Amino acid sequence: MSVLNLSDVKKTDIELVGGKGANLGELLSHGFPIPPGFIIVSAAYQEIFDSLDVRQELAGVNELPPREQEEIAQRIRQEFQSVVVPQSLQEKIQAAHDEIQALQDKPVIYAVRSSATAEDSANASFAGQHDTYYYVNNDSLLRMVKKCWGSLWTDAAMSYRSSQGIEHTSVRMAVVIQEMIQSDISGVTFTANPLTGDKDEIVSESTWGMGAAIVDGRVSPDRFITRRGDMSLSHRSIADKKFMVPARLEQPDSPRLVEVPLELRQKESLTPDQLATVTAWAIKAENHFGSPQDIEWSFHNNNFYMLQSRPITAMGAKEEDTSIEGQYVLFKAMAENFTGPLYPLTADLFIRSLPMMEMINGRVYLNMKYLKPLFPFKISDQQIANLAYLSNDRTVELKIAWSKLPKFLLILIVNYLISEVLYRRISNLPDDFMDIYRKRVDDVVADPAISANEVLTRLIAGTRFFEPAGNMAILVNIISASRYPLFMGILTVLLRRWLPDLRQDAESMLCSGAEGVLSIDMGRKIWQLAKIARTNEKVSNIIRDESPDKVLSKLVELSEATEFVSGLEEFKKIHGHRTLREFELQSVRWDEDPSTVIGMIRNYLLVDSNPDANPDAMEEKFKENRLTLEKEVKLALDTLPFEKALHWRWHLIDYLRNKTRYFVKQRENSRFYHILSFYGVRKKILQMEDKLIAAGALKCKDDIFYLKWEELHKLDAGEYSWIDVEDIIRERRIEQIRLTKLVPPRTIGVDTDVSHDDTQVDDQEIDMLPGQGASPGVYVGTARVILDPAVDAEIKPGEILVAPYTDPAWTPLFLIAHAAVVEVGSYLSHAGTIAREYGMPCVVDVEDCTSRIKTGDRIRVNGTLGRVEFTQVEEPP
Amino acid sequence: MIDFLLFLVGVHLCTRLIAACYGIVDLWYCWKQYRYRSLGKILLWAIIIIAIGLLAAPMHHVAYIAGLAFFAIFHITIYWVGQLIRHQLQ
Repeated sequence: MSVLNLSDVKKTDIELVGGKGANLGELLSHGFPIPPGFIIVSAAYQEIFDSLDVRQELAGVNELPPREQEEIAQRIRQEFQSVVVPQSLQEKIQAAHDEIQALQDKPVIYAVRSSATAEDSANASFAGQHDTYYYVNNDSLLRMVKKCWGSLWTDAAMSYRSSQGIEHTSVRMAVVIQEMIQSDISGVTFTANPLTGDKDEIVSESTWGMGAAIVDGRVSPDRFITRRGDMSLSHRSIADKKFMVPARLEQPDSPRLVEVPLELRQKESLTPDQLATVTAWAIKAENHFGSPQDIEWSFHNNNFYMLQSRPITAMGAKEEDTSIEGQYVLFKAMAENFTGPLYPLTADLFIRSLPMMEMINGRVYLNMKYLKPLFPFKISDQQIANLAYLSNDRTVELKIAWSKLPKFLLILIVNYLISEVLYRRISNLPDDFMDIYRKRVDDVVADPAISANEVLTRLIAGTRFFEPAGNMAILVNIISASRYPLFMGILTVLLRRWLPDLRQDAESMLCSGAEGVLSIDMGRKIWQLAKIARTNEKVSNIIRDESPDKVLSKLVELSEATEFVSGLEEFKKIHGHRTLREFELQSVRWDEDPSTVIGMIRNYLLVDSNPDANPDAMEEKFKENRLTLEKEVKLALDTLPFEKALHWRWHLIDYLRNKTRYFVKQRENSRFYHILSFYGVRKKILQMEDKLIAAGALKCKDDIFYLKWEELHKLDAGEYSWIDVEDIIRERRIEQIRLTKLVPPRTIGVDTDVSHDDTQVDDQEIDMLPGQGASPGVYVGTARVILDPAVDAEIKPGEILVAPYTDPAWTPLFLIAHAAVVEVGSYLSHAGTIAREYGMPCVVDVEDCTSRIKTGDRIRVNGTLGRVEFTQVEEPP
Repeated sequence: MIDFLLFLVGVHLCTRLIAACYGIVDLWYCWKQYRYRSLGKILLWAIIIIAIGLLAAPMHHVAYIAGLAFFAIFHITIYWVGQLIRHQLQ
């Protein structure tokens, strides 16, 4: 009885075979297509554990210091590895193997899984804490079984049992040994929508090759949603499946991730018949177990196999973490640049340099206890949060709270004392004064004594005496961001007082046209590269017809492309540190992979023939409009008393708009430079990654970003090995996917005012989406929804860009679009700044605009009033 | 009251003079082009500081100089505090 065939196991055998084993046995015995296998029962583990004679050592282990606990755990693991498995057990394992082998013509390859006796039970889930080994052949079967037994004694497993009050010796370990299926297609199916909790929806995700790619979150799978009632398909999205985990049963040393052949990348991985099969088996599993199930499955030679079925544990998108204490508001300066959560390593390193911030579910939040003293008004916490989020809340009536004033004045004085010198220093410097920051970053990166976790704090908080202002990019950014609205505000007040009938977008127009804004220069340079490409048909054909990631390698071989290639290299030297989601350390920079830039050049080539697409012409036209407005303002001011002689009002307006322009420019440019420091940290991390992969401590590129700094440090120092971090990485990768799908709340721990209840929808709002005007003007046109410019950068001249967020990498799209609508952002955001420079209307902070507006919709963007209206709904082209 | 105002003036003028002095560091990379402007600024703020000192009645000198000295000391101190914060963050 120490080895059981899977088909002999029932769900009541949980004490004998653990939760996982019982579940699989139950399915197999009820006719589900489970791959064959057998289980070494927990009693066999118990017999061996008793023979180790470690019970005495384990008595009172929870009271020992962590280091001693770790030593004991390590000793037990080693004992398990060296133990001699009794001959009778070895024979039974061999017999079970022979039985399976007899049905096959090739040597059987197994997955060896731990199945702890308390695992997957209602009270204690040890998910991911114990080991699983894939691609195990008969020769190494015993060794892996011993490793599984030993995995009950890892630091993490012991610590978890201690925290749950579970007696260490009460948990036993069965081992499930199951044939591995050489999957052609794999996937997961949920019999209820895990995000919305909708039980009418059956959600299936599929991809090519082995399922590890989906389960580990390495690839974006195809997604199908089937309505339970009539089994109709309500949603189908085919992902660009760049990578797959191949079945490597015969070549275990082959690469873990391989590129999907081009013709399969955007092909749906599941046919309608296969989807129907998957759905039918998923519903059967749900009916059998009596609750919504999450099943893993695969197809091999068009035969369906169910690999696992377990209850869906968490459902619903709006999760509220009640364990978080305090009040927080989403940090918009970060949220408006990208909407996804930060990777664990980025979050860990980032938060070290930002003491007033808190990282919650991968998003950066401002701690409101630091914000409250900055608002000396009689307003609620929610209103403070709204102001901090820079939302367009016009309901706030700002009445001074005298009791808060002394503290506020003290903050102002301290702020003045700390920042005044730097403000004066940077008030009138040449455009290139921050160029030396490149050298500063290079020096820090090249210094082997400075580790990755120190780079950000050195560059951000490490200001030294006699440091040139150019080396303080982040401080320049903060000061510019705080001063520019001040000058703009005074300018607006004066203009409206002197010339109340002036057009609504006058201030924005007067303040536009700043020369030397690097992100705008970047857009122009990409346009120029497109111009170079256009001069040679071969070059432009390659860029137009080839996949962006293959273009450069083809162009390098082409003699006619020399000018283009060297132009691109020049571009990379200056702008190579930029990318989409550039605060994220995991984001690959253009320097490393310029595919996104090539995609943008391709887009420019596609719109080549349309004169409206020429950004130079657009800029020239806008400049003319600005000069006309200047003349109008001057003439209007001349009618006021005492103006004609000295033009003092105009000089004041001119001074204020020049200051506004200057600080807008410095804000954008300082960001350009301080992003260099993020690339610096990334370089350090990539160096560590190469070293760790070479040493076998990490197995895959990018896995490093799922670790926290302390774990990475231990891995680097040899205190941890791959075994210690494998499960951590896997779990965090899955968690990252979950967090990506969550909509982060704007505030946490803040009482919501009824007046701001998002669920109240005005009838008028059905055809109108409210937002915040970031650049004035009105434009009616066709919407183009772009979720990721790296994948989908095609926009036609005259179209309206609808985006989830924008950062400088989106700038080239602004050169072609005639208006922009953005889900997050503020007047000060990148989208607003660039739109004002190009004189196009822009509305930001439009909730869910990327899902409520469809490509092809006719919309009116009113940047002056801050709203988007549907004018005539058309079918998508 | 005048003492207090002169103290504040002293603080502000000290910020301007220190900022002007930093011009040498900030513009060192293009010193040839900006040397006259940088030195001119230092000279201007130094003259203003001295002029106000001379114009102020002797009984207010202490407040004025205290303002200047206070900020100079404060400015040096915040660098040390910055370094301490950096060490704490690490």
